[in-house]
This record gives sequence, C-alpha cells and structure tokens, in this order.
Amino acid sequence: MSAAMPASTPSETGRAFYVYAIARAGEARVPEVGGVDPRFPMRVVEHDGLAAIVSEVPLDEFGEERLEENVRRPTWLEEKALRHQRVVARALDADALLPMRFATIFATEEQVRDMLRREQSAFVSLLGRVDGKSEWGVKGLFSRERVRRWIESSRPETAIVPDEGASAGPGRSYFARKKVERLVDEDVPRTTASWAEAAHRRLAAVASEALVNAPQPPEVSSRAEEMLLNGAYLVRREREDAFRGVVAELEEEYREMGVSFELTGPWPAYNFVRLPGEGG
Amino acid sequence: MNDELTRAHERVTLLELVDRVLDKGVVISGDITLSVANVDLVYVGLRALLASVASLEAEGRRAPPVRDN
Repeated sequence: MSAAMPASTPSETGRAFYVYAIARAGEARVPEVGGVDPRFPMRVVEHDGLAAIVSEVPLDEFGEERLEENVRRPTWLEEKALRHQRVVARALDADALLPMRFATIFATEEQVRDMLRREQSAFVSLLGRVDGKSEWGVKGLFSRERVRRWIESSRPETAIVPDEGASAGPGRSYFARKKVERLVDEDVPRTTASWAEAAHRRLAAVASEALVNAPQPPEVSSRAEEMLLNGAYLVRREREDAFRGVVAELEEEYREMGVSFELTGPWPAYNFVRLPGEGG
Repeated sequence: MNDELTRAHERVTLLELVDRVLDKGVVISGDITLSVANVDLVYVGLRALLASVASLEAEGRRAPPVRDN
C-alpha cells in the first residue's frame, strides 16, 4: 500500500498522519471509532514488530499554523482531545499500549515508520513496563476550614492560647485569637503536605510505579475544595482491587479531617511513557 | 441535584482527560513531527478550555439542568 504512494507528499494530498498510540504489532487493533477527523478511517502502520495507530488528518486543520490557531479555541481543543482519548481507550485492549501526546503528527506514512524505527528499543522497553498495567489517578481534596478546625482541636498550643486570652481581658483575647489563627494558618500547608505524603506512600506501595503531579488550582475544577494530592499510579490489573481498597481506607481514615479522595481510571499509561532523554 | 452531580462528575473526568491527553503521553522529538505538544500554545488552549468549562458550570447553576441522554 505504501509502495503505491511514495510520491504522496503532504502538500499534494493536503493530509498528514496523526498518531494516537503505539502497541506491539500483533496486539494492535484498529479501534472502531472515528479519529480526530472522523472522515478518515483508523489504520495501523507497522514496522519491525511495532504498530502505530494512526488516521489521516487534513493540513488545513492540523497543519502547524492552523493547529496553533485551533488549540486556542476551547471547543475545538475539547472535541479533539476527547476524540484522541476515545481512540486510545478503544485500543487499550492491547496488552500494552503507549498513548501519544495530543497532536503528534507526521507529514507522511514513511515518517511514521521512521519514528517506529528510530525509537524502537525505547518503545519496546516502555511496552514491557506498562504491560498488564493501567494508570489510575487519585486526587486528595481538602476543605481549608475543616483542616483548620482539625488543627485547632488536635494541637495543644492552639488549644491553650485561647484559654490564656480569655482570662486576660478582651484586648489580649483579640491578639491571642489572632496569634492562634496565624499559627493554624501556618500549619495548614505542613499538615496537608504530610497527609499527601502519607497517602501517596500507601498508594504507591500497591502500584508498580507512582508519581505526583502538581495539584490543580481550585479554579480549574471550580470546586470549593483545594487539592493536596494529584497522584498517578501504574497498577497491575490483578492488584486493582487492592489499590481500590487502599483508596477506600484513606477515604475512611481522613474523613474526620475533611479530606476526600477521588479515584479515576483505568487510563492508558499517559503518565508513565516518557522516552529516555526527553527533557522537562 | 442528581443532574448537577452527574455534570460535576463529567466535568471532573473531562479535566482529568484533558490533563493527560494534552500534558502527558509519549512526546516524540525531531524535526519531522508537526507536534505542538511541547509548545506553550497547548497550555494556552488548556487554560482557555478550563475557563470555558468553569463558566459553563457557572451558567449551569442558573440554567435548568440539561442531559444529553
């Protein structure tokens, strides 16, 4: 098939190749869903035991300049990101799958093969690492007010100072109260960080690999709660129940501190497919 | 209430998804790719998307719940 189109350059066809994911050649299946541009069918491009799941995309939408404009349009970006993930999710049945980042686009099919050739050993090693595992996301959320109350009730120094204040007249009471508030405020980040660390350690113990991403700011989710943990965990399929069990335990134990845990997954291993030498 | 919860949950899932698709995944370097993945532009787009989701949510609190199934 490719032999029949050696002369097809993107400028002639007006199209390029969007790569969704990499799998082992025998395991890759063509997902029965539309791609980022559903007019073009999903295909598999193979080279030396590896397969790239691809579809063609029009350059007037995905060419470099147009892409730069389009990614600034929220509705466009949301739709295409959803379509990208839908393809990857349908291909997740492969034993091992490497999801590509959004908008990984090559000018020609031959360049897709070049990429498979060039990164062959890295892909094989990453496929081995994610084989039989899925990614799970755990977010720990807290209510600042409830954490403050928990600190007040659990720290002796914050409990004692108001009593002193109460017996020493209204002026000192005010300053004593302010002092306690400051102590508690200072203690919130330390406390939530130690909870996040403890929770992450327990989740990581059940996972094959684990990492922590920066907490999303509250305005991103438009939630009242703040985020103390934004963890990603690569979990063997047979350990998924154990992993869920740890999340349930954490949920139970931290409830009185006003902390909740949110589990999402299974995801393709987006967080665990960095190529060696990739900067940043 | 139920619709609100459903929408809130879908929004969270969308944010999780966008966080991964746009920010994670295999990054191929080299001059043959047209990827803009490493460029701040995707970040700009992501912020715009999140802002629009947030404002949709704000509208949603006033508008009657809409379900698409």
